[in-house]
Amino acid sequence: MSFRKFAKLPLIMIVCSILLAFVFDFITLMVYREDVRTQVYIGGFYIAGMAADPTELAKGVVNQPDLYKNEDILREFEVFSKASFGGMSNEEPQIVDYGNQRQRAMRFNVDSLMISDIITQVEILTIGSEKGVSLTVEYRVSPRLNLLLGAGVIPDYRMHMTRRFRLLGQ
Amino acid sequence: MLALLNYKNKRGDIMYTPDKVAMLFLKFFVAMLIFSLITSIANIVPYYMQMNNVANDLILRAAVNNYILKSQVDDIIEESFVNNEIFNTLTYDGPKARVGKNGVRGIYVYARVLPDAGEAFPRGACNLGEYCASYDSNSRHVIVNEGTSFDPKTNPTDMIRFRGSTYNGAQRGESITVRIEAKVNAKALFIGFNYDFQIPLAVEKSAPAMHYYRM
Repeated sequence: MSFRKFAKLPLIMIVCSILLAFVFDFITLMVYREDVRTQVYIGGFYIAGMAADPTELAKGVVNQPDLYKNEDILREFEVFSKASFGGMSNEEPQIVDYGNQRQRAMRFNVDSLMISDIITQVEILTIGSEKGVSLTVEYRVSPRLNLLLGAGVIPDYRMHMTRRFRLLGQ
Repeated sequence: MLALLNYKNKRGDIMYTPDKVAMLFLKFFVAMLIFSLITSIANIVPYYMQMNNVANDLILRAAVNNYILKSQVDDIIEESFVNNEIFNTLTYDGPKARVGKNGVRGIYVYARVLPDAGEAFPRGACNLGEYCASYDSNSRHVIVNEGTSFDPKTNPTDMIRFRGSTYNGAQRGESITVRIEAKVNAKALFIGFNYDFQIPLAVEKSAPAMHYYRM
């Protein structure tokens, strides 16, 4: 076998690996897209279905901003995030507090070949006497090509979805 | 065949010497092996995606009510895998059925309330894609074997069964985990032999239980 013919083999292997990496990345993104959609709705309904403050409820208060305190909503957001994604990480999640009691984000460092991080973020919305949340779930997926080229050479795919939910009131 | 072996090119050299013919056969068999492996691996894609969809469906139902009826799990599995020609042929015919009323075999669904510490389904405790008795036994039930009239949200008797000693169901805020295990059939062809094997797959999803069951 001539050197030229021999050199073709690794070239073909590299080209095939790159093509396969793109194909499998595309499939993985399709799978995770459904995950993001499901989790954002589960999180939204979980927060939307939270119980009102019993002390305010006993006073006969009907105004949602009084019935649902921001700190309670943020606590419910943390419960949702830990329940859904806590099992995928061996580390405690990193909590980003924006200092305004209206926004919070959590970052989970996931022990997976493909997902590098999962980020959840909530923003509390108040419109008149109604309260709601804007919830975002973001998966950061490592491209498979980085297995070939080295970690971080190609930036992570960011797959996110944001939906708004109104607190249902109970 | 003899004429082919004696075929000479314009310079008078014999084109197909025995070693060249042997190499041709070897290339053909290797190509067949690679092709059969690629088609087998390609089968994983629709199967895994369907498992993922089923897991999302189950976790959503389980999270909303804090439980899911076994009949609902059966229906989802039947509709997703059995009443579908492609998935029916791909299903691993395992030794013991976990779910399925019409002869579904080899797809195992487990659900648990996450304990305070540790994993819901410890890694390495069981063989991937096969039935696991330790995953199946738990003191806090998510999959409940009840009729469709079971409604702990409005029926106090059912609520006592759900929260009491019978099921010890999840309370709001606790994490519910659903795990699906299966194997997909695969085959490799090499030099006339047909090697059948199975590729194990698993999907796990978690979500918080949503409903308040007060007693």
